[in-house]
Amino acid sequence: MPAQAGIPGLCLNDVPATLQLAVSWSRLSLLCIILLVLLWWLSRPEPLPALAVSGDNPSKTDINRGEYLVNIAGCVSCHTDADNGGAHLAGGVKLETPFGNFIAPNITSDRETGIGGWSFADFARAMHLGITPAGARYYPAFPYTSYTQSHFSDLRAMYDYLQATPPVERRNEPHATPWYINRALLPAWQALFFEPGVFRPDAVHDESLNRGAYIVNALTHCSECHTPRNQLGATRPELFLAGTEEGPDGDPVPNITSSEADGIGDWDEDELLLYLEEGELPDGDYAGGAMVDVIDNSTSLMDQEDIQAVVKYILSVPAVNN
Amino acid sequence: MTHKTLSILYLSALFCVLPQAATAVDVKGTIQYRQNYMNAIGGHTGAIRRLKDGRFNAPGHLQMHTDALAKLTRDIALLFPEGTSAGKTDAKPEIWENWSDFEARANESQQAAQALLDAVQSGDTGTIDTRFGELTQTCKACHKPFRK
Repeated sequence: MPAQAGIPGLCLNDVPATLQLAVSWSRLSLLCIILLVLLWWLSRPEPLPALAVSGDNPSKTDINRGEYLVNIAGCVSCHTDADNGGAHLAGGVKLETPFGNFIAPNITSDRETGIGGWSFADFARAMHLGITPAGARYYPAFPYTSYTQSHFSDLRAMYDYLQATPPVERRNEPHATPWYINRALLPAWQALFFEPGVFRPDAVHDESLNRGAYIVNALTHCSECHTPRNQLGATRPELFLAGTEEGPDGDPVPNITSSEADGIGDWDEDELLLYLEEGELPDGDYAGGAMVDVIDNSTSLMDQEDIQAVVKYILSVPAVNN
Repeated sequence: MTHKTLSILYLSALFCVLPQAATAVDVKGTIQYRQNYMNAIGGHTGAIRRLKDGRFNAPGHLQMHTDALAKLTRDIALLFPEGTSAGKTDAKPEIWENWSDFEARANESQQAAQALLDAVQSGDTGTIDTRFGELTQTCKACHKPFRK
């Protein structure tokens, strides 16, 4: 009788069925452990690129630029609980997702409850690698999956601005996730779905189109809501910006590719500009839901050069019907 | 069955049906009417935008569209009777959960539309721009919590 492959000397036909089951379970467990170790190894934190961006004494210009970037990166919409009178950037907004409710933390300069005690390396690790100062991983409700593409000089300016904000003491609330969603899973999630990397301009495109791509993908993080996600919560690149029925708060989010069928393929630059500056659609209707915050706190605050670049880039996104 | 019993049964049935008939809402018709109505508001708003931007010119049209908006915005809350959150609608259930807030925001649109009408009648371009901006802010302010 041939021995069972993989376990030398043990013939499974000779042993009772329960023992066979135990052996297959132990094999399965071994496989899982190997897989987890592999994922952990793959997801081990990479060292940050040399943070050669100086700025121990940031100038007023640096801080203003940082404020502009924090605005267009949409930080305010989640980190300011404006509807309940919350202080600027002191956190508290609840993001309801199929994976639980996430409460945005305090990112003011308060040393105890905000990020006043963070070094720039802590901030850059959070934004670029999705890793907390204590070494844990962030849930991707925090869109580091987009912010990773930010230039380190921009991250430095954002950091300088946040450190210059008035400190607001407001303790962070814990996220409310189901028992099976916890931080222990996040290294594996990052290994499977997250690749850190700064945006690289495409030499085929002109400067303005590249600037638009950078803003949309690294800062404004449009894709986090406008691209559908898979069962494990990762965005599906093949449906980039193609809209989803299940966006934030369970609301539908439209297709913004150049699809004529269900995207914005029939919009021209003026129409998209008007929408991103004022919230007015070509038919005179006005934006609703979460997009109102995006317009009020981010796109309407962009300078003319940036908003024009964003418009140009979004209208160039290939059509995907969804 | 006696004539009297039949009459009692008939009357009882009538009393059961009548109050319902009086209060029943035609959900589909209401949602469609509401969408037609809100599209009309959007249509006038978009038309005012084009006139203001000089994309089209016609005497009296700015006044006509603004007048329509001042009238249409009076009855926004009326378009949202209870029981019309299901079906093909972008109206969120929060409307009926926070009715007084919803009504207040609808009133703000009405006041802003009236202020725009006053500005149009005064003819001052700068004020018209400001009032139009304020009116459109009230559209977004209501759409943010209450429309998908």
